[in-house]
Amino acid sequence: MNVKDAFPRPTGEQTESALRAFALRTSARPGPWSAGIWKAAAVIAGLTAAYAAGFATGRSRPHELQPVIVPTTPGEAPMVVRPPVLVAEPRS
Amino acid sequence: MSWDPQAFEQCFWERYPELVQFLHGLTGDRAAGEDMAQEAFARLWARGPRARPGADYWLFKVARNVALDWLKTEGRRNHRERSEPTAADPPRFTEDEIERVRAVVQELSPRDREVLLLRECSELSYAEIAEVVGRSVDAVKQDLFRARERLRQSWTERFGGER
Repeated sequence: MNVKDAFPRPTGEQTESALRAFALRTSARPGPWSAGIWKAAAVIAGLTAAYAAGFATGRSRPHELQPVIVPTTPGEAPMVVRPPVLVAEPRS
Repeated sequence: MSWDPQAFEQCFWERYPELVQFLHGLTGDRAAGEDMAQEAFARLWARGPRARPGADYWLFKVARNVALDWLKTEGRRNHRERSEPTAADPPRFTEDEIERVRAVVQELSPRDREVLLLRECSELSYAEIAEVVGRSVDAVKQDLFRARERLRQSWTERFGGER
């Protein structure tokens, strides 16, 4: 008697039964590609939602303020109050 | 892209019996061996047909890793209760003789047991075994020599010169 005899291989019938069980198992499990597709779709959807949320809540450019003309007494030039203009310039 | 069902089925028919035999010997548990063989095939299925060229060794590698994990966690807790002779057992030997061989094989370390089973049961070459267990061919030869010696020694201690 040798080691091989102590651990018999499954018969054809048992292998067929195992194959049927395996087929049931894999049919219930999604394939590898579909899992990848769902993952990619989830990432794209997440990025789109994040972009849309950022776009909706993001600050738009403020309206430029118009200069205010302050009426003065007749004969005098009207006083114009201009909004401050921020000019970014390199410091010398 | 997924497996061609016929190619996969052929692979299953060719390798499932060998895997179960190997895993049964490695774990000492027939039912666990069958579950692990199914798990190995499930992973092969998930990998898709690109795994086909090396599928044979790949299956043994995966099955071996699953079995070693199982041995670490489950140990051999209830394997004697769960290991039942299957209907496929050939009537050439008595149940007592079969149990004796199983008991002696289970006394080997997993490292020795795996090379012994891959050689004696799965009939892989040294190079193929080296591929599966991730060791050099020389190391496999040494392990196999040691496994056989220990098996012989253990058998003699337990049962004397009786075969």
